[in-house]
Amino acid sequence: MSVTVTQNQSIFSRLPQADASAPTWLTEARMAAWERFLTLPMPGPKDEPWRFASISRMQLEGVSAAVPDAGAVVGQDLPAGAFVFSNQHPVQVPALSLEKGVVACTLEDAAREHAELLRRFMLAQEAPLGSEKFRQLHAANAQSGVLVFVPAGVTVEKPIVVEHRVGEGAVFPYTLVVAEENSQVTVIERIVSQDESSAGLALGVFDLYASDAARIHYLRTQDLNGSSKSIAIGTTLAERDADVKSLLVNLGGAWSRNEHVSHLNGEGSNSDMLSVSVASGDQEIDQRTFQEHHARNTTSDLLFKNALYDRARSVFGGLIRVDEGAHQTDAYQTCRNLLLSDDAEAHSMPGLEINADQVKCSHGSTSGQIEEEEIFYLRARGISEVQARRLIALGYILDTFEKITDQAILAEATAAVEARFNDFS
Amino acid sequence: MNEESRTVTTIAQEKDTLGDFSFPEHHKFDAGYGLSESTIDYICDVKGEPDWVRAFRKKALGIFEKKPMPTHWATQDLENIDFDKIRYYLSDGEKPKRSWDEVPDDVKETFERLGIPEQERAFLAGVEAQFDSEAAYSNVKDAVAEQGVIFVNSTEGLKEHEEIFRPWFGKVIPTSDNKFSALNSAVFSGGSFIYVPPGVKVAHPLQAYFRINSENFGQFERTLIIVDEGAELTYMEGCTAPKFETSTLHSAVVELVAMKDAKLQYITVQNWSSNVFNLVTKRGIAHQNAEVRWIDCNIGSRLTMKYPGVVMKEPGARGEVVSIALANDGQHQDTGAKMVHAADNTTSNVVSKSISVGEGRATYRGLVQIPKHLKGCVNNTECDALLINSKSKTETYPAISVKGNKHATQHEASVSQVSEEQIFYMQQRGLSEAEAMSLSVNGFVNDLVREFPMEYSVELKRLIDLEMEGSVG
Repeated sequence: MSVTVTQNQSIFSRLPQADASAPTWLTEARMAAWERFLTLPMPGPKDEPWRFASISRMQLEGVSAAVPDAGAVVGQDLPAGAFVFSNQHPVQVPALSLEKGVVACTLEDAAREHAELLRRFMLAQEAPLGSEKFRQLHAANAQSGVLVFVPAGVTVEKPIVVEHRVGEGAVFPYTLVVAEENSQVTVIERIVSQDESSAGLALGVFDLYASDAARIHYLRTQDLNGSSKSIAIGTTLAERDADVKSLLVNLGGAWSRNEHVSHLNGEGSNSDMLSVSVASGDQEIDQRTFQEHHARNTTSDLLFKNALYDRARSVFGGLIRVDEGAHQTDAYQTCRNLLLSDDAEAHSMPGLEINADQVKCSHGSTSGQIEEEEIFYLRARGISEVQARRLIALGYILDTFEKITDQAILAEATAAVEARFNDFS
Repeated sequence: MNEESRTVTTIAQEKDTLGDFSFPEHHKFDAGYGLSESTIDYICDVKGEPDWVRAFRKKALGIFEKKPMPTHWATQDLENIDFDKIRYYLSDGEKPKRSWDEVPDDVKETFERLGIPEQERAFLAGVEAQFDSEAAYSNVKDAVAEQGVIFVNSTEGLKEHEEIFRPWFGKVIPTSDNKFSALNSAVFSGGSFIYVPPGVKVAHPLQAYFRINSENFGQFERTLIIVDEGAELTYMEGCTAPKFETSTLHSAVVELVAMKDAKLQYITVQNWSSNVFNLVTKRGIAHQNAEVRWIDCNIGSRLTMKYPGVVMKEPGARGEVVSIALANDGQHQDTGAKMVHAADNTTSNVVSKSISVGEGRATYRGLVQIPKHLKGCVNNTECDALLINSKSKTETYPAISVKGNKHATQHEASVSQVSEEQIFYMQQRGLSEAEAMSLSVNGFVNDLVREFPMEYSVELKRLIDLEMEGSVG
């Protein structure tokens, strides 16, 4: 491609950059995704998947692509053993001693050596919850990220950690986890800002594929600065008896939107979908989920908890769909909001579509506040009111982690949430 | 076989013919097919309506034509309504009857076939039976009239009592609320206009029965009930329709106003035939410490879309929706509730139970709004769905918006089946599978059925029994 690219061009008008090292099929696929991106309409306030969303706060048109710059991390500590990308540029690729046959490599390497996996997941999955246009934009631009491949029967002992640092402009991180039969792996992804002020956009995608009886644990922490925005589009695919547990932790960013779909494809499969959000100031956290039960005897359990301070706003739109013939399904969906100020807002749309019988399905949604009695109880024990409120809200959020069995994920998520709550002491 | 189940079987055998009949049509006024300004002029001329009503209708027609079908969230089935093949006004041109004896025999026969005993009808305080678009029978007992209660149809209400009804007419549900409220505002006829003066407690429920009895005939009744300070009223409506081969459109607008300390209860039991589109807008305003309750039972129809709402406008107001929906083959019950908390210390409760039988589809849509800077607002929503067969469908789409930290809301929904163990247990005790299923379903809705007045709960139980016949095996 002989296209001259100016650095400050909007991601909405800039052709995907030709990467000299990329194989031809990928360059062509990116152009095809770009064409689809151009033909798809922008989401509007009347679109049902964008109900209650502050579309005016999205303002993606004006964002230009981030400039890959290795210099930005000079002088900063790099976490040992983690993949680190700074503005899409791989600043640290760890030499991991992995179990036999396990692959953990950058997207760049994956494009050369695992083309079939990228074609099947990065380029073929759809985003049915409103952001298909953005998923195509991501496919056209994604250059940073990690492929994790675990062969049949292998358990990866140590978690694979990926950190994306975002500066000024847009980055397109991608995480693909493919776990073959009877394998097991834990992946931790962090989306953070390079500094406290750069206005960044992280338009990220993750695809988690668990083959028969495979187990995937996945944590994604978004802790961007208050000037940045985030979109995460995720897919979980669970085959027969597979078990996927995912946790999305939303702490930072001015505006963030998560869309996560679980396809329960195989009999006996399970997907646990957890999320916690702590928002203050004018933060908005907009999350949409879809638990689709294609096969019989499948289970899914969703629990989202939000703590909202100041003028923070949360939107939750969830849907459980039990397809015809997917009998003996158990599916649960719960969204809870703790409103900690008179200006905080919570919008919940928990949905069910049941087309089979012999199913157990329920959803629940609550919005409430801290009871004075609870404060009184702690104050009577010598804890200040501010500390009491902080502890109760922290406990409310940490309670979500009860279902987490992976110790690495539990430790990292707990530490991140506790650090965020220090803002309120 | 015991007495009760014999009765059920007898009724079940009549099921196919019950409601599947019609009578010779003799309409003195007929606005023809399709909808245009001239249709509206025709209706206004026949009814001798004042100019402001004519202007109101014409403005509504413009809004109706401009509004798109709400298919971006509602079912595509709405596209199958052909507005040009509907007759928008029919009337036998007679003034409402004043006594039972004067009611035409064929209308009486309709009631008879529905199995509503004479003594139950006599028991009711006031009866307003609508036959096609005009009230064919209207009888307000002297006692109610003496209390100062006004109970008339929409034409009479707007002509004779303009000063009472005009201030609230179209104010609870604006014409532009949705496409079908606009349609109703353009072509409405029939329905009940009721005013209860301050402090008057109407002891017996007021009631209106109506039926659609002309092929391709849309019925657009308009109801406005105002219950003044400290007054109380229960209103009941029930309807069934004969089966026709082409689709019939029913699109009502019901506005309720409960002034300070008033209590207003609106009860509906519907059993439309499965070719009817029933697209109804119902909303109430509750002022200080007032209570508005919608008690709603939807059975039958091809598509029902109905989300009764309460706007709690002043402190202490209370709203409630109790809803039962039963969807059988070819039927879609798309029902729900809207609760708008617009003042401090307002409380609302929604309890919805739906049953999907055969290939029936039941949908719940809910809206709860608590805007900011209010305090002490509480909402509780529960929706339970029961699926009878493997092809039965159910959906739940609530939306709850809460602002501020001085409120409490909770929403719960569940989906379940009649357990095989339960059926087995009852079969062990001599019930057939169908009877056992029917008993289970009645048990599922039992706590809600008790909210209905006696004569309705009897009818309701019978309707459920009929619908459950043939659902097993």
